[in-house]
Amino acid sequence: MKKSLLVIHIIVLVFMAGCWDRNELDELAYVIAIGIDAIEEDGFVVTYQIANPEEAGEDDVASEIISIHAPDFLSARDLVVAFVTREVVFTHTKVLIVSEAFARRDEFLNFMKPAIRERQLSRKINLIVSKERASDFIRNNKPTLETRPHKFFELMTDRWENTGLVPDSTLHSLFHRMEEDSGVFLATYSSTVQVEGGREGKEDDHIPGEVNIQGGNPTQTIGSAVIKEGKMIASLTGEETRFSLLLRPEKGIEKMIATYPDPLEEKYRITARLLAEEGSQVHVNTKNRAPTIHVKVPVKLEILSIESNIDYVEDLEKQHLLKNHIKTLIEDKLNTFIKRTQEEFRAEPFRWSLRARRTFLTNKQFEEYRWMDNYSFAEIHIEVDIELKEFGKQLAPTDMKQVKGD
Amino acid sequence: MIKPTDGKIGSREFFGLVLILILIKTTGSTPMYLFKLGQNATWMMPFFFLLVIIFPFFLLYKVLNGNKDKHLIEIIYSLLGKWAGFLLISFIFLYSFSSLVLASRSTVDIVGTLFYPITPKIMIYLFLMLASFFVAKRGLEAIGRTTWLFYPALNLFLLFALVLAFPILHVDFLFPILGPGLPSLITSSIKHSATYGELFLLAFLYPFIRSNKDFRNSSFLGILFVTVQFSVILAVFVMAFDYPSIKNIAYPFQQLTRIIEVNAVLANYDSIFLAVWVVASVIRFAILLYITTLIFAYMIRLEEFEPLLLPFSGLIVMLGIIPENPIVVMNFFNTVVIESGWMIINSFPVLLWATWKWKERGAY
Repeated sequence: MKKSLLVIHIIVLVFMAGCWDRNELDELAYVIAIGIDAIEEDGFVVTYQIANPEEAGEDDVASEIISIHAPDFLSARDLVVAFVTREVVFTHTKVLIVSEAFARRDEFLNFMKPAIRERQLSRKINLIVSKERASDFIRNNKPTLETRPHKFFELMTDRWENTGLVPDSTLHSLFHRMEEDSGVFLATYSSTVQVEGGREGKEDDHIPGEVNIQGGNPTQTIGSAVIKEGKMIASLTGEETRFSLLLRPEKGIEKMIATYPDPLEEKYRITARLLAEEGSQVHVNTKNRAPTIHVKVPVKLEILSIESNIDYVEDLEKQHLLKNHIKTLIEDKLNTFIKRTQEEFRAEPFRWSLRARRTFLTNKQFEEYRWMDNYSFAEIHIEVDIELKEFGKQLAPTDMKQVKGD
Repeated sequence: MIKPTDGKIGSREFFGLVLILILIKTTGSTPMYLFKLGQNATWMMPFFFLLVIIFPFFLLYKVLNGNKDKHLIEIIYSLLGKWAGFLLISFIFLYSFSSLVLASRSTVDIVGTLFYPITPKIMIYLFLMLASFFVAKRGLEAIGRTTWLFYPALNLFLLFALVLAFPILHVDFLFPILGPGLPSLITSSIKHSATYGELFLLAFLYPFIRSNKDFRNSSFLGILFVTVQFSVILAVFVMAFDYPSIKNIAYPFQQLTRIIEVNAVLANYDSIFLAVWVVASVIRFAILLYITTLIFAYMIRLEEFEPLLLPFSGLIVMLGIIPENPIVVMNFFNTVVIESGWMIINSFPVLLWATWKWKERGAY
């Protein structure tokens, strides 16, 4: 009796393996990255980076990259059969890369729509705007530390969230922000082509391609592409991206390292790590046509290095001076940037609309208020609330005069 | 001591039935339709549903309690007479049958669209109904036990999904707090109060529940529980997707389980939720099948209804496969069944109670 039951169970198991939708792992080709370029005549070039799951040694290629001309990036899937023997699936796709030239066109968002309808594509895919053609981006991207392309993209997006130089941009948030229609969306901005000579700038005052690097992977991801009403209108440097994230009511950055000029000796700089343990406190008043916005930005500061010989650590008066100095510096920069968003973008990347919504009772009232239009006339008060938290493992800086012996 | 079974169910089994039957609606097509009306304030609608149905349900309970030795169909016949009674029962039967057909089709559509695109719908449908038939065939006691066994698992997974979704939720998405405005919220809630209609169908199981106290406690406590859970789940959907995006998202529950992730390694595990959800659906359709068959059999005064379960399962597949696509099903279900069902389910208890009281007075 028991044996026959066992046999029946085993037979049933055979039939439960799935019928029509059965797939063998080694018959599938997993697309890791999808690139989209617009070309002059009506049409697009779609690039697929397909992972090679059988890669074993150093001689194997980790992925295969294919570019084809297609009417949209999903229909290209069937055309790929001409080159690839396996069934192409998007279930493990990590990133969608679009070229800047395409992102600036009107049909950009329309062309992205199939991405959220397609059942295999998840809404949490990252969106990257590349300065050059997306097909070049994928080909140039040669991660050296990570042999697997999917791991590279996975780790990179995690790192971005920590430093705040790059916004966290997923398809989910792109469509959410576009449908919400109350602000601009920040997409990850990247490049694999270094601009000749680079640009002289401080650590985060860059857009991709401008960072002077030698060796390593040519991919530079810093700053963000500003997408308003379905197309790209401008780009932000890494610094501006950090500000946008810092000013959001929800926590956007964990920690970031930045340098500031020394308050007493202009030629030296002070390096500090900013910790944002909570989001900014935003209060919006929408009683009038022009909203009034009060933002309090709480940051904790950790001094990492003091180039000059001035003791900002043990001298409490100087500590206070340093604190106020950095506070005004950040506030000035924030105000300049906010002015830019009001005048150039005429929309905000700070997600303050979330707080504005609280002041209304119904959706209709909020829609009629037209937050995006009114934002350019908003009166904004920024207050940075700095807390000097730590000074590392050293008290006063080493006196260079003593070291040199004079 | 092992008690011999009497084919009846106790309070916790009935409690499980109430919860599973209504709660599972949050994972189907119901939220899609509710979000169009309630926008970001949809989470309030379950409370309005409760307010709308609680009074008629209380009257129904009074009627049942006053005629303990009969089941509801007998009561209807004896109170309203042969013709009017038949008319009313056939309306209830139509409501129950059509919601069974359409809800099962909707489940098949979700499984097909999101997980098995190539598999023919009819095969998924056959397997689903076959499984439900087997559960229903075991009798009410078995259904009740399965439900009670499974209910903690279902809740655990819902909680799991909720905890994992936590990082992507924004409380701000719930604002403006009143959504489309209070008047429109209330009218659409009244119109869709048939979302809780299964509670009235469960009243047909009254004679199979051990005691009156079991029925009273489980149903009233159950519906309160359902309301809170229903509301929390709807709120989570809004906090994850925001209005107006939520209007355009098909199958919010399944999409939510796709977005959430523990970390980079555990990123694609929506199939776990699929398994739990399919089992819950099978139980749901087993109960509905059981009740619908029971209503039909008693309506035409058959003594035995269990032989009818198999023909009914077949009939459901045959009818359910007819609609062309999920949207046709969803629209038909919500505009016809739900929006006309609310009148039936809310009015018949009042009618029964009034006749009962009137007849009682006449008897003295």
